[in-house]
Amino acid sequence: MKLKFNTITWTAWMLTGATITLLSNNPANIILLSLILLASAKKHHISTSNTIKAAIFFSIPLLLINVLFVHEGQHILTEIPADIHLIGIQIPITPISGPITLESVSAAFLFSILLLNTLLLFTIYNKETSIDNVLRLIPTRLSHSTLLIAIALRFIPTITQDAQAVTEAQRCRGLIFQTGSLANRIKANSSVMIPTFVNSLERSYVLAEALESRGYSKNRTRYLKEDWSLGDWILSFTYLLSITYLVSSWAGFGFPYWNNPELLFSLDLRVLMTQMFLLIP
Amino acid sequence: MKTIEFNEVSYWYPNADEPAINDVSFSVSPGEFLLVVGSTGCGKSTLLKCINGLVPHFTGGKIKGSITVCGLNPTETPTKKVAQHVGFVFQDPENQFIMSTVESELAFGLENLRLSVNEISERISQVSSYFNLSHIINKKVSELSGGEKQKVVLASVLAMRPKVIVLDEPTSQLDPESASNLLYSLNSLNSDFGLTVVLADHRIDRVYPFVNKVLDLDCGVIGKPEDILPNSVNSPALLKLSKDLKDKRINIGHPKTVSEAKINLKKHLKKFNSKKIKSRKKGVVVVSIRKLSKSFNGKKVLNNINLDFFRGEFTVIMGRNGAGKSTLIKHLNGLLQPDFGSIQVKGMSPASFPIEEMARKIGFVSQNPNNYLFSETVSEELAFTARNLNSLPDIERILENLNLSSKKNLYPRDLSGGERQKVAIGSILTGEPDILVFDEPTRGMDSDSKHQLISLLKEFTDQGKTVVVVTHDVETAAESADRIIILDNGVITADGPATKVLNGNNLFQTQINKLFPTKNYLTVDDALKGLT
Repeated sequence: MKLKFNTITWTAWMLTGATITLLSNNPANIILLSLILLASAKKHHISTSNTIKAAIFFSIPLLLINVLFVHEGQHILTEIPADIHLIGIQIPITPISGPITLESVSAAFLFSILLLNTLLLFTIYNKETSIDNVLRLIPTRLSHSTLLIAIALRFIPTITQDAQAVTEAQRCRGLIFQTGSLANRIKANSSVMIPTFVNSLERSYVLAEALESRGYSKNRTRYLKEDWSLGDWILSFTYLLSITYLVSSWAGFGFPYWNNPELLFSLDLRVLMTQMFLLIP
Repeated sequence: MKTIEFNEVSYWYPNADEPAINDVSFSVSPGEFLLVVGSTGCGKSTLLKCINGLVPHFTGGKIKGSITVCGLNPTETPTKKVAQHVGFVFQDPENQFIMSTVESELAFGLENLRLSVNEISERISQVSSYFNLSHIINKKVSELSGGEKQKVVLASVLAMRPKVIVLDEPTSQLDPESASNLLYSLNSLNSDFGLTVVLADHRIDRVYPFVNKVLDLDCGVIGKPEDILPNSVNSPALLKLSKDLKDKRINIGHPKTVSEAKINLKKHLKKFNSKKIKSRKKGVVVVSIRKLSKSFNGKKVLNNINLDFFRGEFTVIMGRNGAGKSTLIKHLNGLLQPDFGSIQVKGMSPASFPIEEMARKIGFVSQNPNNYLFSETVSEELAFTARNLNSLPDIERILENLNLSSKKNLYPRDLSGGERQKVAIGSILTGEPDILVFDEPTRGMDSDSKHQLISLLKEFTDQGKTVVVVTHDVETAAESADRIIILDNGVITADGPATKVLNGNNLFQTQINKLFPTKNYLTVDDALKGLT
């Protein structure tokens, strides 16, 4: 049976995962965290293919930057020369010249996994909680701001879809965006920007009318009707303890690999213990 | 005491010389169902917004006369306070959602009323059971269908238990089935709970049986539907037929429903001859679609479509919300590419040519006219496409045909929804394409504007152009189409002459066809022509 947990428990879950991701640089633990998060996503029937694709997309520049600019480490794979010869011309490439090391490649790989973990954490958190309930956790005196955030978050995909629809409409009128002089291109793009901008303004105007006609005011109650079970108490408390333990450990002793990546592949048991709790919800 | 009372009310938008509504007086008693009709841009939305005080509190401008709603003066009372008595439903449900899930949306108004969590919970459970929303209560609003969205908006407003509900064209984006469901819900709220309903709509055929008062803003008169509607620009088919038959000495009274009309017409039925269904004359194939399939996020939206469009033919595509109609027509000019299958447009494959190049062959007008409008004036908006495509259209004539000549120097976004739609259509017509494709072109248009547009499109088909229209409006389809295609779940379920497809079709049937089920009539004209 799938247990249903409170938004507060899920928020504590996400914060624990984020703490591990941010503080631990141990490759074994980080890879294990990915596996735990993938298992959790599968358990909740959440598709992760787009998240993985996004992580791979952003990993490519990470790998290139690391390989080309970080030359530290003892395990040299190959060397980038100080200059290259192209059709008989000598071209200096001093800024990137130096050894390509296994350490720099593994560090890039590590950063990619960290990125994947962050994306997975938020994918699961977004699916398992509602933004409305998350914002209801924010203190009442910030209610205007929380509503603003909720509306803004809802509007991002709407504006993107709007821009796409306007572009399509203008292309159907024979407008070419990619050719011609710079002035023509600016003019062509204004035919997309103006309707998109005005549509957004008109939409926000209607939304403001809807808020007004439904009696919106700062002084309102909050409908946060979620069960708070014994499981929520135990889990939230466990996550709180885990975060405290991880932060104090990091502040007091530091975790391995924090400053310089080394090729050591052993699990940090302190992190492992807290990681296993992430599998519970 | 009257629930709503308007006394010689006039309103001017900021910087406007002419009033948006002029000297309007009417009253509505508790539990009445008032229908507001009038031509496009006559001030229906403005009038509705006066009822809950959005006009003038939110819009600014100048107001004259006196308004009383549930004992309050909305021009002086804060809108928040009026909201406790008056619920408002806007035209587009998408734009009025504030929260992201159905339950939160239902709770939003109740949180504003400062109700306790228990009371909010109780009211949510009541409205969700009344509107049958329990199965979608935890869904995100973005995942709902068009009909579900409008139902959630209505439920969230009614959860606040207003005495009056005001609705601005709530059915304009719904398929006939969803529109009927919404109107039945409104009718039962009106008759069972005595809720006062004020509704503005252009599709009057379906609303007419439920209303007991009509305000025609064009003439500024209010009265019983049977007195006002026969002379209105949006007269329902049954009343129009009754009026025309009266001239031919057949009296069927003022029937509100088809069954009522059937009883009154029974003794005259023999005088009506059946209409022969003409077979379609197929011309030259201009668009050919073979084995077209398309999926979004793993869901098949179009499944193995085989279809031809012919030169000089007026084709209407119909189907429920989400049936795949818009997806199908977006393939014609390359806005979408098929997952499987092929399309040929006058020998060109949209997959091999850019959309800008296809625009010379196919003119495409999408659902939202606002996506087209960015120029300073209506004339410039029309000239823009002509410049892009190097065409030489008669812009003055197009403006005249669309009844926009008097508005040619106005800023397009200052026009009403129906008028903006006409500008968007005009901006495509100036490209002079041979094939014209429209997605819901008559949305928000009054009857006269629809007739003008249909006549114009018919003129194009007479000139040998091909017209493809996606619409939910059964009456428009019946009036205009040579051929009707019905899509259901991405599959073509019917394709043939309009009479053959619509005759006896449970989902897409005109009032006249229901009245004469064996005569093959679709429109009032068909019935009058069949009369011996």
